[in-house]
Amino acid sequence: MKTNNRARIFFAIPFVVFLIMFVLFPLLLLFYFAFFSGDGFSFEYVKNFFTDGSLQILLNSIIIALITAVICIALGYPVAYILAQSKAKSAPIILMLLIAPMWVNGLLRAFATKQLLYAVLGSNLQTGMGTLIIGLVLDFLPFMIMPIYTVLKNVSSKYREASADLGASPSQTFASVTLPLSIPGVISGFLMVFTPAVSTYYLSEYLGSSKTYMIGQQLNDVFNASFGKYGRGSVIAIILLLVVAMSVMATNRLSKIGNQRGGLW
Amino acid sequence: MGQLMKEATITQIRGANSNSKKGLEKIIELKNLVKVFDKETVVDNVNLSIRKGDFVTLLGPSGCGKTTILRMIAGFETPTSGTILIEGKDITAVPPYKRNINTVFQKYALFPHLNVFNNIAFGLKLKRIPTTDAERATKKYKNMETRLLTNAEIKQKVNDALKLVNLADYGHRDVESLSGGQQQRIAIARALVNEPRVLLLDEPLGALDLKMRKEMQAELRRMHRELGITFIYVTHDQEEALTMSDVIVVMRDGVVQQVGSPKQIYDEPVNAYVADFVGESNIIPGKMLADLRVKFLDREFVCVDKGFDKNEPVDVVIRPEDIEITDTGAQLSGEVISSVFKGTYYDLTVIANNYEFYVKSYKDYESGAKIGLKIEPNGIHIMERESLINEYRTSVSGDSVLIGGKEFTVANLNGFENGDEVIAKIEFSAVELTDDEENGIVGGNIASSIYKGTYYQVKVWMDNDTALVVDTPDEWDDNDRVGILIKPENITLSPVPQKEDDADEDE
Repeated sequence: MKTNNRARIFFAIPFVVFLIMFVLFPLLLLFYFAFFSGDGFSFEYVKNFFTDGSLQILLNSIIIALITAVICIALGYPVAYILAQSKAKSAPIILMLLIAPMWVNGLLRAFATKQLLYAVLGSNLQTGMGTLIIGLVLDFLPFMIMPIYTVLKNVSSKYREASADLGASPSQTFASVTLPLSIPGVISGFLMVFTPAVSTYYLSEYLGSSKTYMIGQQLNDVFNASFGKYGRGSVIAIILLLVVAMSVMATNRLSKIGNQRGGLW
Repeated sequence: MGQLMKEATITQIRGANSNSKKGLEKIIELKNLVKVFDKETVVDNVNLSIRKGDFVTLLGPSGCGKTTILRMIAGFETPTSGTILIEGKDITAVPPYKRNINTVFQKYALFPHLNVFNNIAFGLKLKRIPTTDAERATKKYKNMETRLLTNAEIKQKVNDALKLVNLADYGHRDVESLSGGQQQRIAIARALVNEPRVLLLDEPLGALDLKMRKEMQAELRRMHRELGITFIYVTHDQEEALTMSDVIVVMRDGVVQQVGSPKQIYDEPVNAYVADFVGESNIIPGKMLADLRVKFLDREFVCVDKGFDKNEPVDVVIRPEDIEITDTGAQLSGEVISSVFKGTYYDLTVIANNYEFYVKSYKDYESGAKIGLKIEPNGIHIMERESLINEYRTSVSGDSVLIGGKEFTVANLNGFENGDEVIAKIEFSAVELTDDEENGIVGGNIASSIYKGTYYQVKVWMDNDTALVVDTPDEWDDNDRVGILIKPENITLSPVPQKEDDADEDE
């Protein structure tokens, strides 16, 4: 027993060292930069966040990410549903094709999306909210389809049969059995789209405009502009971390209310 | 108090069905029903009438097609051909949600996102009932032919159903917090609350332990008796079928073997398969000497069967409890091999005339004891024998014949030459089965196995759908893969007859 424990500790050491060096230490550094200016402990940078327009940028980013997530649900759910129901042998292949773009480098994808939009909408296209959201949806749709597909695949046909047996038409069965049982997948998908969308950088850089300036860009610009002075950037990073943590906690809570395990976490 | 409440509940649920007299009309008719899955015929031309109010059990081993029949009645499977009638109306193409039939599923299939109350209320919330004249006069239901149930009505019915299954205070509970037995009761309540014309039950007690199963059997019998709804019950448990049913339908390989009351099925099985599947039996090869006289184990016995050909080979079925142990008037003398106490009786194994008998006895005997056995005429059940020898019409190729697509070498060609059409015969006992199919001339699957007292009669499907019957001392499980060996000297060839004549097998 004791040797076993010792062995466990031994094998855990490299990872713990890694965690301390590259997660814990930078995090502490972040907090140091955020709360210590030249004159010691202060809330100056935090105050700045609320007065220099960063808050508005964050709220805009949250709205853009929410719109993206909702559009992804609207587009992704039917696709996941059709694929999960399909008995065709091609269904897994189609699913793989939908996921395939994720294998391509993200920056390349953003660049390609822009070129594609130029080709379709004309070269005098003004990038802005519309193009940004198209880009975000294109980029993150597979993350919505996958968890919904997985959950729908696992909703046993016995529940649909039981529903039909009790007198529910196919549409009533969908509304009162299939849809409620697939909610955990939708929640997982929402999180998987919202989280990266809210902090995206390169997509808003390529496909947005000054009106869609997002918190990721702000983060980049603030760090670049103030070499050696990381206070403002650190505050933004910490607040972004909190937003993501809070959305994870909120969706976890929702999943539990739904009383169903499912999705990706 | 509890009993009173239960009775009130029952009258209410019975409602729609109470005006129908049991046993007068057919509620379900299956006509030439066939279901083929991936080229495999699972249900093979089944014809069956089910009377209103009966408790009908479809009995058979797994894969015999019983569940497929149930699923076709429910509407989850579409028949490949044939029709299903309910109360005279063809419903073959009607989707399940439009059929007034409810199912209790094998693994309950309770909705995990709904609590007990809402599971049971599921069907009620969708149901529309005709409005009364008084209701049509009100503003709410003006000119409406049908209406949904009100919340109060739903609540009343759900609570009645909960009382019916003895779970009165469980409405608010989460279904996953209930035990298997409780979930089963909720599944029954969820189906019965809709007042179906027919209740289908797909091995509903399979997942419960023995004690719970016995309890639920009694509960289901009570509900059936009190509600008057037609129950169609699927099980592979012969004891369950015998204790619960009005009518048993014994099935094998998609074909109905026998339909009858439990007593008929048990006392007068139509063939050795039914006899073997329903209860323990001694199955002995014999020969009809004349009407009411049968010979087996080198002794003559008086029986109650007639109408067989003189000297026709038959299977004799004797139930263990029909064998009397006696000193006076014994017909066979045997030696006790073993005795196992079964609570109220002893299961004896007795060897008599080289046959291993199962005998039920209220008295214990030591092994080695010599006892006399006596069988009354009505304890002897005579069954037609299905076949006596493997017979294939084939052709000679070199020094072998083709059986099941493979060449089997023949020792004595009996003057036949290459290409000649012949009948090849192989005795059941001349076939050898091997564990390793590589060792056989051809591979095959065990289709069925019936114990005949001293040997097993096994049916094997060879790999291109040729059947072979084998008598073997070894026990094989259904679907076992085996190799098939036939020694060259055990294949006899004869000319193709002009006309089939029943060769009298004589000693």
